[in-house]
Amino acid sequence: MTDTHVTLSAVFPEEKLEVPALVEAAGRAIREIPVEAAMEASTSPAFWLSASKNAAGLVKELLDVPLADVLVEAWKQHRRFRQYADAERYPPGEVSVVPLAEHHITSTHEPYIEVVIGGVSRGKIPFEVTLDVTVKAGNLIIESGKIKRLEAARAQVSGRLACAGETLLKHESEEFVWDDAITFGAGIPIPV
Amino acid sequence: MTMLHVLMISTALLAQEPQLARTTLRPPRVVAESVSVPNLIDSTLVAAALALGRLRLATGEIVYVERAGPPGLVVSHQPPSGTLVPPGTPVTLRLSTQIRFVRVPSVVDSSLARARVILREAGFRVGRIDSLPDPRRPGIVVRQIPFGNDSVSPRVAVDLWVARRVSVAEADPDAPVVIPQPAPETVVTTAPERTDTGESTVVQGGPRRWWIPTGIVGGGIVLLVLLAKLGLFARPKADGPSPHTPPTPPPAGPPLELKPHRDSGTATVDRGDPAASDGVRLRAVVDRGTPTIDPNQRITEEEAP
Repeated sequence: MTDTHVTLSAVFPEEKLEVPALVEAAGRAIREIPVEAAMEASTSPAFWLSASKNAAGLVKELLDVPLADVLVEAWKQHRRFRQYADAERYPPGEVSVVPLAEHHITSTHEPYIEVVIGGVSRGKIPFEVTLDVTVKAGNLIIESGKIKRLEAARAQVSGRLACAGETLLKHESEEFVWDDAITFGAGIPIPV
Repeated sequence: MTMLHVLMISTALLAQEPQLARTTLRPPRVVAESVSVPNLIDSTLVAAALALGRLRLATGEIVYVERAGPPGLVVSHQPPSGTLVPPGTPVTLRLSTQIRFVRVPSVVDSSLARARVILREAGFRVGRIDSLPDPRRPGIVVRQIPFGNDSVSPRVAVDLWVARRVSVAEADPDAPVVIPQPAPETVVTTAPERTDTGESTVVQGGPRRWWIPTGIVGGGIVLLVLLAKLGLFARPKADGPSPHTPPTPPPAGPPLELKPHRDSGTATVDRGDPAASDGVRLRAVVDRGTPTIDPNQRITEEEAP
């Protein structure tokens, strides 16, 4: 699979979601919305049908996090890369190409769908995403103390998606291959 | 003032007299009589009817709406206050009535037949029946929506999930695909009669209409299930045709205007009802996460293994 815009949606394909579990978990979260607040909205069944459809559609939005962004956030913390923040050792105009060895990055995300009734937040449908990324290869391009690009990278991700404590999907992705460079805008600064 | 001045003024007044005499006053012409609908919110039915009668307006349809507040008060009316209408126009009144919720009995761990009996005796209908793989307890109800002890309207149908034996394909992903034959219990035997998922209309003696939302929470849950059944979450199945009956069309409701905002990760659902234009909004809040990496891990080829 070659895609420079791989997001967490690719790790958790929609068609693999356990629908009854999603329904039950979302239902459990909806139950916590105060009845008075729900009644305030004077909602009809057709309305809730529409709202539910949109809530399901929003799961994809919750997973709209580029995988490369997760990786670079982890790399910039690693002691190995701190040296590139040293402007004397690595002066501006000098480009470092760092070949990556196989390594692991873990990440936890807690996105949620907020239910707003009458302009007031009345409840949440909480989700939890845990990732274990195996970076198999790649070259990191570092310049002026910033991670600029990731080139020729390969990674595999295993992850768990849960809603309100209920596991919706445990999945191991196929190998993602980025033949093209992934550019991190103006670069991700490496903290000194 | 001299006599000359008095004479001049008197002459001038006399000269104007014929003009005044020619002016005729006509009564204003009535084009159409209209009455402004009064604000009847929080009035009792009697007070509202009297107020309408005083203004020569008629009391129209009376609709009862379950509300959390005090019962018997006007919660809204149509036309709304301030609307100019001809005399005699009927004004529809929506009156609050108390929410009547009933606890759903828990039928998890019962056989399907027993679950049917328990639900029927408690006044509930059995909705859709589906199955979940669980080789330990085939034929036993393992999940229900609404959940046991949920407080919902008694009109809500209870959807059930029954444990089924695990097929070869489910047990071993590398095994060849086997088309699972559903157990008799897993076939949908009850066509969903969902005229009342969240809202129902029962005509009682003439024009009086009972409009009873069955509870948003229970209704929402049931609708989520219904939504799943209707195929809105559906994925292509490689295990043969579904044993379920064809999906029923969604119930007719007020006009809906869906406004997805993909860029901001939010979606607004607007019923098109100005009185509830704020409505309910679902907002996706993305978390970019807290990635961690073992500091002692070798991550570059330049490091010694």
